[in-house]
Amino acid sequence: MIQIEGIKKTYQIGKESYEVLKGIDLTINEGEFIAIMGPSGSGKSTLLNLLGGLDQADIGNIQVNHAKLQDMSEKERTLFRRKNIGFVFQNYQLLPNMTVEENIAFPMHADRLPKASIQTTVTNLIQSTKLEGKEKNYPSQLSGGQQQRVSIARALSMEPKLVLADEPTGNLDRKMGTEILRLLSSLHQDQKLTIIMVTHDMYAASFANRIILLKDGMIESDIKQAEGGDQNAMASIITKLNS
Amino acid sequence: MLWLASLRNLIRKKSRSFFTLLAILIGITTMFAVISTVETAKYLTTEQLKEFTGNADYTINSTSNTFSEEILDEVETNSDISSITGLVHRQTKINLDSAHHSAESNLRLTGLSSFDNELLSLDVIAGNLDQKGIIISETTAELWNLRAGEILNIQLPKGNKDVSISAIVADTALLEGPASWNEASNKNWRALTTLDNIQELYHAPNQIGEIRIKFKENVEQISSITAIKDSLQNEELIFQKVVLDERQTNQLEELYFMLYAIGGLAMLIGAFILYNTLYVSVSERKNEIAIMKTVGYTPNQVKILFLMEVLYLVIIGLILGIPSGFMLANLLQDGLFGSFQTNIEVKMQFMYALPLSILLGIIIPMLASLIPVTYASKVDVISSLKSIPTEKVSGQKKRTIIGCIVLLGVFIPHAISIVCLLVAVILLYPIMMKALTILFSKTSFLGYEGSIAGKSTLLTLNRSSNMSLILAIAICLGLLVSSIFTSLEQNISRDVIRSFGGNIQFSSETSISNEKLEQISQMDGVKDVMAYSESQATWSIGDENRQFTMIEVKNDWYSNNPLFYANASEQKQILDALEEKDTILLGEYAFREWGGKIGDTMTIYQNGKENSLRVVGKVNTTQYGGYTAFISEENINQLHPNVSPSKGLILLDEYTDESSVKNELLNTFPFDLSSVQTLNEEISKQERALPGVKSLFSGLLMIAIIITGIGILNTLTMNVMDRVREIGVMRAIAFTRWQIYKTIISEGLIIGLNGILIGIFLGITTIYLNAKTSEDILIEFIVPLETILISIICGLIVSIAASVLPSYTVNKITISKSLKQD
Repeated sequence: MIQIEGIKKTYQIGKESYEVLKGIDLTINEGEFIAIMGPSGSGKSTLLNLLGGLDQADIGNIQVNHAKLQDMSEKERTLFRRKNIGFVFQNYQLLPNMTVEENIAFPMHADRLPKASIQTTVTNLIQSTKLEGKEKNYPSQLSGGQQQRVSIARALSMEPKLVLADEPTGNLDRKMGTEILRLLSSLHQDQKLTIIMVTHDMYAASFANRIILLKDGMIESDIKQAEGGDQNAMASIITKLNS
Repeated sequence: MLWLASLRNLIRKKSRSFFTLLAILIGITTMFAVISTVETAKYLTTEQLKEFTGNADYTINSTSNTFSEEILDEVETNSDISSITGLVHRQTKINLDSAHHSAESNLRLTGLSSFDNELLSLDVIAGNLDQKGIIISETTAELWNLRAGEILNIQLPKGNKDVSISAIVADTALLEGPASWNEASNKNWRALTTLDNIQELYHAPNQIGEIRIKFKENVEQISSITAIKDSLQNEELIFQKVVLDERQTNQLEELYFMLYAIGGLAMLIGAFILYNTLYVSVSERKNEIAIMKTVGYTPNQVKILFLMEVLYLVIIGLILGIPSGFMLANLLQDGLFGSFQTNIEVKMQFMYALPLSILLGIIIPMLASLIPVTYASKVDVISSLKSIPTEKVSGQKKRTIIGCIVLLGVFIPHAISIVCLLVAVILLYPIMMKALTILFSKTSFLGYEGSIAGKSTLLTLNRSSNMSLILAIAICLGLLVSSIFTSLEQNISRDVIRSFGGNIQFSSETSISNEKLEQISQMDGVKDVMAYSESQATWSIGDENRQFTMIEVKNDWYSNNPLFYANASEQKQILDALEEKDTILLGEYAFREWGGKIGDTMTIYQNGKENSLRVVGKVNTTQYGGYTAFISEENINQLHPNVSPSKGLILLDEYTDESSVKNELLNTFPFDLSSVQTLNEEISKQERALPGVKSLFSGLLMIAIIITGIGILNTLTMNVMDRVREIGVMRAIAFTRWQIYKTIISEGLIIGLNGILIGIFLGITTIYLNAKTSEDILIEFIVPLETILISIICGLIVSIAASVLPSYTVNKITISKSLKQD
């Protein structure tokens, strides 16, 4: 589904250059639930942004569903992103002036989908994310967990095959975090979604079936774990993270 | 340190500071230009008056127009007098090839007994005042193509004569002739010469028409003039105090008011923009303020920090705004005085404009910054550092209720209803804008992006409504001005006809005798002719004297061809009342200045005597600018027995060509008639002045709309900069750049459309109320459709143009950066 070849990314801050990704090669298959881990500054979020077409690599190729992101214009990337990729952010990034249902419907309206179809999708997503009764609420009237569920519902509104989640539980307590992870996990299992999640949290990563560890802009390890978690692999990652 | 911190803050937000500065700069520029223009107009009028009356304190005239020069010799002996001159006016015709027809060749010669005194100030450009010949102005010399020392052939009672141009002097009111050959057909050329020369040329030895006196300083003028009067013992002489009051000769108060209104509006917009900018700046920097307070800054130091920012902007605004104000004032004054066809050299006046603009340029922005600066000084440290949202206290409900109550004022049958309307709209604007914005969003004519823009606008309603309101006021003012001008254009001929008094007006340097009247009545096409007199009277308001022209009214003529108009139902009643003893009728302008009521008694001073006259009404006239009064033949005789008539009115048969009668008149009385004006000439003259003034107002209003554009740009920049992250999210999950452009442009359009729609509504309602409450029947309820269309187009262009930069700025930020914004 996703083919990454030799991508490099450098940021310029003032007069200094920082090479954040130093040549990443990666293949992600359809239906995988991947956790990308690594210490701060390892390039996790940059990689996620490049996968989502929010930013462009300096060197290298990224193919998502056979579409080459680096060959696309900005508009093409936006349209591609809108139809094929769902985003879930750490701080939910809901539109504060829109209600729950308006937030969920936003990408569909942007795509000029028929109103009736939008309404049906919104109703279904509200049910599946257990947000009934909160349709008319504004983000500020919701708990963190509820806001993240709205964010997930919005990410799913265009029925993408790929969901990119950047620290989806980073702002939540363990109980709410678990709720969100379970929701993502069930979506992965039921809808065969490909989920790529950036996280610091080992517990969150344990819900994934593949863990990629980044360090200094390079892939340090790429471990697939069996359903329910491979304790040996996990132990190896913890060791690497701590080293 | 504070000044450095303030400067850095301004530099940090370059574009915001730039647009705020631009708004202040345009505000100062416009304000200086309008104040200076009004100041120059007033100065010019007073100077013209001074030059015209030669700085005199008193004039002596005669009821029979001319009198013996011996009187001048006798008055001259009075030791209280510092300067004295005798003068006489005579008419002639010039023989120049450039003059294509008779009407273009009328020359008014003024003979003066002395050129060397403080009553006359002539700036000689070429030649010599002492040489025998005539003195002409620079403009006249250019048009005649004659230089000093060259010869001009003129017509005199005893045949043609060559006279030499003894001197050419700078343009002055006393020598103000036509500014072009086109103007020459209805304006006399003017020239000065010695009194002796006139007396010789016209074979009128010892005759003079007027004496002008300037008394020495610290002289009790009333007792001196009484002494002169007593010594002369001549009942025919009229002693008149010279009242220098620029208001008595022009009716530009409305024009001044409109100029001030536009200048004020420009400054107000600048102040609003500053208020908005500062408010947002404070909101953005609450955290910074909290930290400053934590480390020991006092509320006053915080205030100073923000006031320093304002001061920087104001100082730069003044440094750049005053010179550009000079340039705009120049343009404005050229246009304005050009419209009124004056060929007097215009020297820009700024004695009041400069300090006033500097003062207002400082005070208004400082006042505008008071609320945000106070808000900054009151920032709560704990809630700011913890980012706890402070509870908003909404005064909207109270504001709406007061607005609704004030709105009821529109039913008051008085001009105050317009003020009530304006105040009500200002108070109700946010709620009106809210309703319209919801409507725009619901009708989704701007698409999905429009509905998002609608929501954003509602969130920044206070800030956005301020700018939208200013656009609405600018449009309202534009519509009102346009409606008034359209109304005047449409009605100007009607207006002139109803108070022209016939088909031709003429005035004579000498008394109009019955023989002359008989001669005129015999001319082809003349149906009737009438002569009447005019004299000057003075009245006092407090310590100030006012002077008006009293026009003799003859009822039989006025019943069909009056020189004034009132309501149709009142006209006859007024004429009847005027026949009663000791009555006077005042022109609207004099009535307003006098301040009394119809039926009250007015005290006027004429020829040193105090007279009480009952005011029987107020009327309008287009024939006399300034203060005017009408008085019956019998009553004027009581004040001034045997005043000779010097003015005349002619009524023509239907289909008679006015200009042919005019030419016949000029040819028949070439040395008597000082002016002959036909009805159609007067209509054209009045019509000519309108387009120029209208363009000036349109130009000023365009400036106001442009500043509003800067305001919208400023507001939108702040609106989008508040929402960088939100816009980043939109772009991350679904929106293309174009959709972001469309959203922000829609936001600008919503602010603009609200301003346009409410402005048009306000404008039409103001026009209606103005027409309803105005006593001037020229002002009709006319909806200026063309201006409405222009307002819509300009408003939309300005709103869209103002949205481009903010949308471009926010789109330039990368999505990943936007998502990291606080």
